Amino acid sequence: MKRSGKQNLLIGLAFLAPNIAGFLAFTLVPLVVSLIMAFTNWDLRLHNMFKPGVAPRFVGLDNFYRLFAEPQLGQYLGNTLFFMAGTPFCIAGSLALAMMLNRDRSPRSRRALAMLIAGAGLVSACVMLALVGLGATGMVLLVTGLAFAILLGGMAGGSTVYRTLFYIPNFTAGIAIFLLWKKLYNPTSGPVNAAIRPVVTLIQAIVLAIPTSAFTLLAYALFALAMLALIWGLRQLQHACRSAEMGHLSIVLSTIIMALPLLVAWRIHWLIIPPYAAFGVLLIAVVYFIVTTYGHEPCRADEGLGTALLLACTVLTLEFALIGLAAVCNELPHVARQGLAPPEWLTSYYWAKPAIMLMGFWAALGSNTMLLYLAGLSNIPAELYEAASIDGAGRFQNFWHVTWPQLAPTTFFVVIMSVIGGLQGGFDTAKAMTNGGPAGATTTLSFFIYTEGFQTGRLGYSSAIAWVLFLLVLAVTAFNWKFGRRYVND
Amino acid sequence: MKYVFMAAFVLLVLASAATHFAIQKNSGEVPVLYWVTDDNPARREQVRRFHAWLEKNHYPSFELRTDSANRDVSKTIIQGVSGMCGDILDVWSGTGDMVYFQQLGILADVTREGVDMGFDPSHTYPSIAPQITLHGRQYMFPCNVSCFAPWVNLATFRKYGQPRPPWRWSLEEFEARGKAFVAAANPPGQPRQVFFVDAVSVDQIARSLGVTLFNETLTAAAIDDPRYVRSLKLVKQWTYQDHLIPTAADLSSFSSDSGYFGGSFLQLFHQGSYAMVNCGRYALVQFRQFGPMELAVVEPPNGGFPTVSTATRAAAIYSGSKHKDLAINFLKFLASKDYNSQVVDDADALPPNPLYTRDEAFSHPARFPTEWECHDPWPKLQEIAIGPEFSDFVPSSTVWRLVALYQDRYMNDQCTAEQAVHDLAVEINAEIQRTLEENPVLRPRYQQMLALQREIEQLRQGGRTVAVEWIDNPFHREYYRFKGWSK
Repeated sequence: MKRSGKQNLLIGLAFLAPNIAGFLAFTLVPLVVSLIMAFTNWDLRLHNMFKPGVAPRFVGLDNFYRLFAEPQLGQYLGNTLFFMAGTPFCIAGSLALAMMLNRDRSPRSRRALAMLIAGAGLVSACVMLALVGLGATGMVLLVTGLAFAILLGGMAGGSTVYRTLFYIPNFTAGIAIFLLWKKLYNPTSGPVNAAIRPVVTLIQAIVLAIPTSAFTLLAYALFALAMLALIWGLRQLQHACRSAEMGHLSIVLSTIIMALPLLVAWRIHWLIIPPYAAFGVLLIAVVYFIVTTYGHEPCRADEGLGTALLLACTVLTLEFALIGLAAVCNELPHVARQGLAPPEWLTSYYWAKPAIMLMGFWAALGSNTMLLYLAGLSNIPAELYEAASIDGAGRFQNFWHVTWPQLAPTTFFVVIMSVIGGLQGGFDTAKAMTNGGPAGATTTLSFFIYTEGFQTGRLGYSSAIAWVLFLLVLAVTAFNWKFGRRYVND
Repeated sequence: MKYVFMAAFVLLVLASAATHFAIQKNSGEVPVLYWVTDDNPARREQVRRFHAWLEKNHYPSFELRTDSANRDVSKTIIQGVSGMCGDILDVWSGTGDMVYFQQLGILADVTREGVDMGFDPSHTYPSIAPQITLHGRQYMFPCNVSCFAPWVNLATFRKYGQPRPPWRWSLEEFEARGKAFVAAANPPGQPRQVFFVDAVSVDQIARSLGVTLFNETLTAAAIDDPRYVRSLKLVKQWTYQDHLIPTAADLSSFSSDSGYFGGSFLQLFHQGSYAMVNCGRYALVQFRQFGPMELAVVEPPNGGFPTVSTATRAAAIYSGSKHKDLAINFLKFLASKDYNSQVVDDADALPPNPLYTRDEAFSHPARFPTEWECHDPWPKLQEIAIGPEFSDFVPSSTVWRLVALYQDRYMNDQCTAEQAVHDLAVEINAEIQRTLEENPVLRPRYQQMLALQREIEQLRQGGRTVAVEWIDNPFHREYYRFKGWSK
């Protein structure tokens, strides 16, 4: 190497040195140490600088065995996965928002003028209501005033104003947002319940006016719809298998996933489906596929696994939603007779998780995901849309055949990052808003790691939990990588 | 670019040197000790008085500074085991932190100094002594001692035409009076705005019925007992059925930002939303800001064994401190008249040294004649006060987490009371076995205590008395005395 080359290398390394030192000191070394710790019995009560001569001992896989025997592990893992279920909605919301913000809103366009007139009308209506003594709450005026200000801001600055506004939650410190949402969720005086209360009262009146048998019928109709959704899903799989688009592994896995709601449905007391009947249906479904698809065009066993799982998850969500609605319909008359009330949100065992999820959805809308989608959208060549419109494509076809495929690399990246973030998250929210309660309803794996490590002092054990979480993240990411990348490359 | 790099490098070196010299300049000529505590006017006054006390008594001079940024227990643990903690630590005895800190080895043993310098456990309340010592060794001295008993707002009772609660009352009497009160205070068909009391502790009720978390020797959970089940059911009934106590949602609706001394629930008490609140004498600090109030203090309701829980904020010395010899003076100060008279005047709980509760200054403070009825009950409550129990065979943080989890599960209809106490006992016992596996040093003592437990149970089955020294659990010691089961 020439002297100047060496000099440049040294200078380059000198520039990189602080970063490399930081990475080594705060990332690589702790990472390696935590891996080693996971296989030791390091407990602060036994091993620290005040306990000379007592060193942590290698315990093999004991910490991992203990974790899997932990009585609350199922609940904490379930909570983590429940929060993860919000990820697709967050991504879809961010995409929708990015698409809206991507449109050029010229300050002098007709649309903007219409929005301004609508905003002014809204505020005038609220002021008039307030003047006659109706809806004269500070919150109503504040919200409408704010909405008007936002519309006006949009008029003046176009999309840039909206983009900035939507990104503001990302600038705000987490704890401030948590405190804000705690106030919003206040069961009695919170604005959320203040808005819901009249709706709940109206629903109660309607429900009490309708005979109970109508709700029972509706519940069964919804359950039948859920079964139809399952049948539709199975038909799709069958077609795909016959045309050699899906292999046997893909078919069997997705069939099992789609039949899962049946196994859950028997737990809803009004649905008299014993577990063996549910297993029977599942078994019949699997055998049916093996028989009907046997001998058709051969393909790889995992052919089309990504598509199959996507289809299965969509059908699964639909089935759960319909079965859940059916259960609500069945219970509604009984509950209405006792008096319907808005949710107690963070203090209720059943509502605490959805409440946190809803807050997460709000925060995710204007997050980095939205920015990534905005960047992705601006990179789609206009010629593609022109070509599509010449072919007679409508709005939906434009989205489905141009926007969505073009955004595939962004979506792939966003999904991977969201899944990783989702599995690792939940600690700060739980710590600030619910302390993991009520009854462990919001305790996630990351919160459990903190409790075991910093409150009980079992550093080895909490490292083991952290590494199990890492393996879970790795498995999900590897799955995404393997099956998601195909669609990106296609 | 290399010049930019060099310039940045030189700037960093200069900034480091400037910081180094600035720290040296700030450190002054006398040693500086840090007291990890909260920052409030009382603490600042205590530091001022401490410096004056040092000077008056010609003790070695040093500067005491408060450090309110590192009060979190997790921070104390991590900083403590890393050798970076404050010299004097505030430790709340109610959560078992002392046992945990002692196991970590971060607390200095002050037994000898306590005897030599006059702040050994005999200088505080008998109920507090087990909370500042472990296996006969002293690790801290109380700063202010609290009993948790109901404060009564007499004006609220009068407003709703209800009689004043008696000094001592049974669970049945509490329930009957509570139902009558909430019926009178809340118009039918409207949201509940007024409650009988802010909270009732399940453990407090259970103790008054004769059952507590652990057995006599602290070797096993003892809550899988019908009396604990009854306590759980009573609290749930009073909360969700009779509405004597606010639900979690009611509390959340009430919540407002709380300041010094957690004012919100005391403000609600002052406003009349709660007829009674469970709090220590330190509530007077806040009440004095509200202006004159008609107050009284009564015992918590009991199921046959009158008792009240007590705990203390105490000061301990960090074993890694470079100035342990100086810090020890602070513990001596806590037992002195200079410190105790401030606690008496401020009404910041009970003074650590009970001698100072026998003064007129404590019973009848000249500046607050409307309070005269409210001071003497506290030393009287100390006579039936029992501190919390902590087993060194299981981390107290784990026990509290499990207790809260299972109580919550029952309150949220996730299981029956019987299931909750059974599962809780099973889990606590499993945690004890796990601790013994992790820490073999504890095993010989555990076996010894287990043998003792068997002996106690045999004696009790035979209807014979038990030597009180055999009993480690502070609750059982007092309960055995009360029942006449101990020698």
